[in-house]
Formats: sequence, structure tokens, C-alpha cells
Amino acid sequence: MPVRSAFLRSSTAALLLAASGWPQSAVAGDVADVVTDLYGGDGILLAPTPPPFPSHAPHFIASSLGELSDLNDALTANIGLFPFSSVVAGFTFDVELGVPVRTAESLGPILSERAPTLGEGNLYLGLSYSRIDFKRFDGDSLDDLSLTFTHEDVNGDGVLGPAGTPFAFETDQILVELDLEIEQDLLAFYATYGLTDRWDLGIIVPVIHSSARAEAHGTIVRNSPNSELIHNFAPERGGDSADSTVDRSATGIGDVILRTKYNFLRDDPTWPDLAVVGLVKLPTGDEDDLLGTGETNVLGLFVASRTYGSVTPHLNLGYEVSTDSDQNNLRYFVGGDWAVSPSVTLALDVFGRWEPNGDEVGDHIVDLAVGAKWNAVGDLLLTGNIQVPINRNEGLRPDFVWTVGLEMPF
Amino acid sequence: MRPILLLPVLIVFGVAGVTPARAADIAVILSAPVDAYEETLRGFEDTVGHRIVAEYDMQGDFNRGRKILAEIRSDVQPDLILAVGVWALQAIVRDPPDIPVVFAMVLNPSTVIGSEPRNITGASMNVPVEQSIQLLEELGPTIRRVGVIYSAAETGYLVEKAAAAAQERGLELVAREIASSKQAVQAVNALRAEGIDALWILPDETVLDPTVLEYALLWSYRYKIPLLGLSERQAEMGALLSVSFGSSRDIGRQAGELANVILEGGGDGPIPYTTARSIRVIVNLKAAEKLGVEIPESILAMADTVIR
Repeated sequence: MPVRSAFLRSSTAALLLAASGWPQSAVAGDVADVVTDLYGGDGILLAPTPPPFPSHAPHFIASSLGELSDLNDALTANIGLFPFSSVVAGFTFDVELGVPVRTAESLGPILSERAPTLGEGNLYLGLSYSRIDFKRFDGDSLDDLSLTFTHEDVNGDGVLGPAGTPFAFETDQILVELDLEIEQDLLAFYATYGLTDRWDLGIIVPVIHSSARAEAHGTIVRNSPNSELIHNFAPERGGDSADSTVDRSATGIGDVILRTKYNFLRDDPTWPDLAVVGLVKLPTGDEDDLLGTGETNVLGLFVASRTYGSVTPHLNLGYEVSTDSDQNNLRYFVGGDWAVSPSVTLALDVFGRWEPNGDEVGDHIVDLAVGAKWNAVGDLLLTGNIQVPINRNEGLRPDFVWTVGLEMPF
Repeated sequence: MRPILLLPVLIVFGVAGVTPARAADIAVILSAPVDAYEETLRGFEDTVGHRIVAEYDMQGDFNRGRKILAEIRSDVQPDLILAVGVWALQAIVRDPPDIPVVFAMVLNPSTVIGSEPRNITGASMNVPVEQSIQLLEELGPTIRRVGVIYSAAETGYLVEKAAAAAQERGLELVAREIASSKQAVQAVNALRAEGIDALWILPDETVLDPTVLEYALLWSYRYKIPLLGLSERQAEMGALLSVSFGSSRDIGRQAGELANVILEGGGDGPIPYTTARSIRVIVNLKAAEKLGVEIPESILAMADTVIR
């Protein structure tokens, strides 16, 4: 039984799905196929050619299927890790009063890591909600994409057409204008436990609601004299265009993440605090419904941070290995958090993901995140964060991602 | 019998005579994860001749401290407990164990332990009042009346000692008691009216309110009255001189030495706690210039930091 199915059947998973409030059943068909399923899902099949012409109906299938599937690959590749931070209670020593003093900068960063751990026996639970509304693919607006499908080279001479020959019909094309809406709502439940004073273990369980809608308007670009006779969407002559809409959504557990952090250097007079973080993302989310990537990913991060007064800069560097694809990548976070008051901390990060051996689609993604943590009452922390792409013309990107959350120590 | 034949006998009985007593077990409780306490523990390990069998960190949580003590009693059962920092000591005082306790890095420990006899002693962070008085005396013959403001509950005992130490050196301690930090400003002004020559900031939480400290520093500059502070931070803020404990590691060593005395049966009766034997002196020459004070060479020679 696949890991994915077993997990979904567990009572814990059912509870989390119920807590999300999203409908559990998926609209028929995979969300990830929302583009490939346009025009019936088998590529564009034109209307049968009336006699005496041989059938030209399937001559755009190969091209249309190939073009449409490229977009699907980009969609699934952008469902990745959701970094999160642990809240650490910090102390400095007041020489005058002879007591330790809790530091205001303990509220910590939001999306990245810093070196200190929770401390033995401490437990933190958290919940966050993010909304991602994808807007661009490689710089093109998703509501204004266009794909051009070329005719099959029916005579196999390596040339389409040319014009003025009996095969001039090979120069006809189909232009499809696409309006895509791809959105995700993520509700993440997470827990971190201090196994020792320097070693934390954690888990993140995301519940994801993915929805995708594709509206296509296909038009035959008639470059040949007999085009109207042989290439039509509708049975009758003159069927120049055809529309297709596919609308899919699904809710389910995403890829569960296991996390560990070990703080191996602390309070050194010369060096910053140092830690290593390991994350394993399990393929528990259904990749066909854009709930997961379908792969196991292992990320190792080296973390350095140090507090100077009310400011704590940090640096995270790491490498992620994907077990099932060649999307291995380098990860980096550079940023800091600033305790503006005992109960409010501002955080800023620039972070990126770079695939040295990528396919030139979204190989280097860089984002900026700005957020705040507020110690609202007691030990309860409220967080808010907005993330914007810096290089928005790379890959599949939203205009921004906003996240709210709360954390509580026990 | 030839003397050489006595040699094996001497060796056997000699070894028996110097066979060390069983090493005692010590449990350690740190108040919080701060490097000063870690350093203190390292100092304790430098000198203590017995085993540390368990180490705990309260992380500033008294509930956690209570559970730690319960575990120490039931599972660890040590011969002595080391309490590093005031919170660990407070947790122990709330629920005192039957075994000896040695503290380290606690300021004004008598305010924590109280006056009734307990099996608690240790190495405090307090700078000996005699050394502060000596420093003030060395400033020069113009320093004769030294003013302090204090809260009786926190530093009343220090004021008594300081008054005696001042008298021995031919100085006079002019003390003003306050009940809260709101009375501090008025008290400082009253001290000026009494004609003090220097103001001495005691390690008293009532006095160390940030607004009180700021006022005292401005007052010092305005009326050209030198201020003796508690820390390098206060010297950087404008105190003419500051004196604090010199090394948390050495305080740990002092605690280790006390633990050895207790565990090896030394000492008759209660063992008084110690004050810091290593101190740190900071001199602010910029403040000296503003106050029109010349710092004697003897003070400059003992200074660990000179702010120019």
C-alpha cells in the first residue's frame, strides 16, 4: 500500500483535514492535469476532415500535449518546503542586579533558522495559514499565456510546408490563449520538542487546498489556402476557434516534514552560535492533486546567528537532495530579527533556492520576506509575514504570499 | 630488624594512611543558560575534588526547578547540591533539602537565605565593602563623606558593614533609606544637602531603577560629585569609577573550595559565605575631566579598564 494512501486513512490525518474546514473530496480529475485535460485531455483533436481529404484531425495532438505538459511540470516543481522557526527563550546576565534577564530578541525569525534550540523538555506547538495565488510563469502573466501548436510533419521531410506546395497546410498553427488560476491554501500544524538542551526534534503536517482553473481559447491560424477545408474545430467549415475550461480542486495532507536541529556552539566569545538543521520531506501529499511533490527531499542546513543588543542577524546555507529527480538545489537565507520592544520582533529575510543543474525554468528563485512576531498575551505568539519574489520572472511565482500564525510553548 | 625490611610494611601502612576518602556526589542546578553560569561551573570543576553526577538547568522556570529538586532527592541522592545563580538558590530555599547546599554567583545572598540557620553557604558575587571603601579613600583627601541610598530589605546588612569599614578608614558613610525607587531622587538630593563628597551605588534593586541611575549620573556631573558604580556599563554611562566582581570562574572556584571543606568534614559550625576575591575596576577618565578630579596613580594601576 503506498505511503500516501496509508497516511490519508489514518485518524490523525482525518482530524487535521476536518480542522482545515475545506471540502475533502476532489473535483473529478487530477488538479495537476488541469492544463493537459483541456480539450478533452488527449491533445487537440480537430473536426474530421470531410471527403475527399484524408483526416487532418489528429495533426496537432503531439505538439499540444507536449506544450501543455511543460506547464504541469513547473506547477508541481514549485510545491516545496515550508520553512518555520522555533521560538527560543534567551537570557543575558545583568551584572548589576545579579540575575539573568530574558532577552527581547527571543521572539526569533519567522521563515529562517537561528542557532539556539528550545532547551530540554520544552515543547512548542504552532499553527500557520498561508495563501499562495500564483500569477506568473517565467515572467508571463498566468492570465495571459499563449501557446502555439504546430502541425505534424506528415510527409516526414523535416520541413513544415513550405507554402506553395501540396503540404502548405503544415504551416497552419493553433494559437491557444490561456487564462490560468492556480491557488493554494496551506494550513500547517507543527510541533517542536527539545530533546536535550542542544537538540530539537520537530514535525510539520501541512493540510493543503489546491485549486486550479484553466480557460483556453484556441484559434486556428490559417497560413495555407486550403486551411478552411481541412482544419476546423467544428464539423462545418469555418470553425476557427474553440474554448475549453477545466476547473479542479483538492484538499489533503501535504508532504509531511520531519525536522531536527543541533546547536553545537553557543555563547562563544569569538564565534557566532552555530547549529545544523536536517529536514526530511516525505512524499505524503498527492502530487497529482498538487498537494505534494511525490518525492522525498532531504535538506541539510548550516545555521549561524548571533545577538547584538536587540538585533540578531543570521545566515542559513544548505543543500537539498531529491531522491526521485534531479532537482537538487542549494538553499540560502540571509536576514535578521530586531526586537523593537519586549513584545514585538520584526524579521527580514532574503532567501533563495538555486538548482545548478536545472532545466532553466525557475532555476534560481529569490524571495524577500518581511514579518513580525507579537507576544500578545502570556506566552502566546502571533506571527504575520509577507513574502514577495525578488526575481519575479523566474519560474511559477505569486505576486506575494501572506502567512499568519500562532505559536505556544508548553 | 634491618630498616630495609621495614620498607614493605611502611609502604602498605603508608598507602592505607593516605587512601583518599570516597569521592562525594554533587548535583548541580543552573538558574538559566547564561555563559556567566557556565563559566562558574567550570571554575567549580577546577577546584572541587568530588564528582558531579548530575547537572540541571532550570531555564528560569521555578516549576522546572521544583521538579529538578524532586528528582535530585529521589534519584540522584547526592551528598551536596551546587546552586548556580539566584533562581536556583531561591528554588532550594523554598524547599530546602537535608543535604548541604553551596551556592555561587548570587548577589546579596542573605536576602535570599534569610536569617535562620540553614545548611547553605556559598560564594557570592558581592564585592567586599572594604574594597569599595578603600577605592573611595584612595581618590584623595577630598573624599570624606560617602553617600548611599538603600532599601533596608535588600542592602541594609551591607550598609551596616560599609559604615563600619568607612569608620575604620576615617570616612563617614551617610546613608538614606528609601522604601521604593520613587523616593530615590529625593534621597539623592537630600544627600547633596548633607554635603557628601561621593555617591556610592549599592547593588540594590530599588536603587538600580534605570531612571534613578540616569538621574544620579546627571546629578554627579551637575554637582561635580564623583559616583562609584557597579559595572562597566555604569562607568561607560558616566560613573567616575566602577567596581564589580572580576571573574565568574573564580567565584566558581571559591564555591568548589567551600564544597571541599564541607564534604571533607572541615570547619566547625556554620561556614559563612564568601565575597568575590577577584574584583574588576573600571576608571572613566572622561568623567574625571568633567568632574575636575585627578585619578591617583594607585587607582590607575589597579584599573582593569580605563575609559578615555
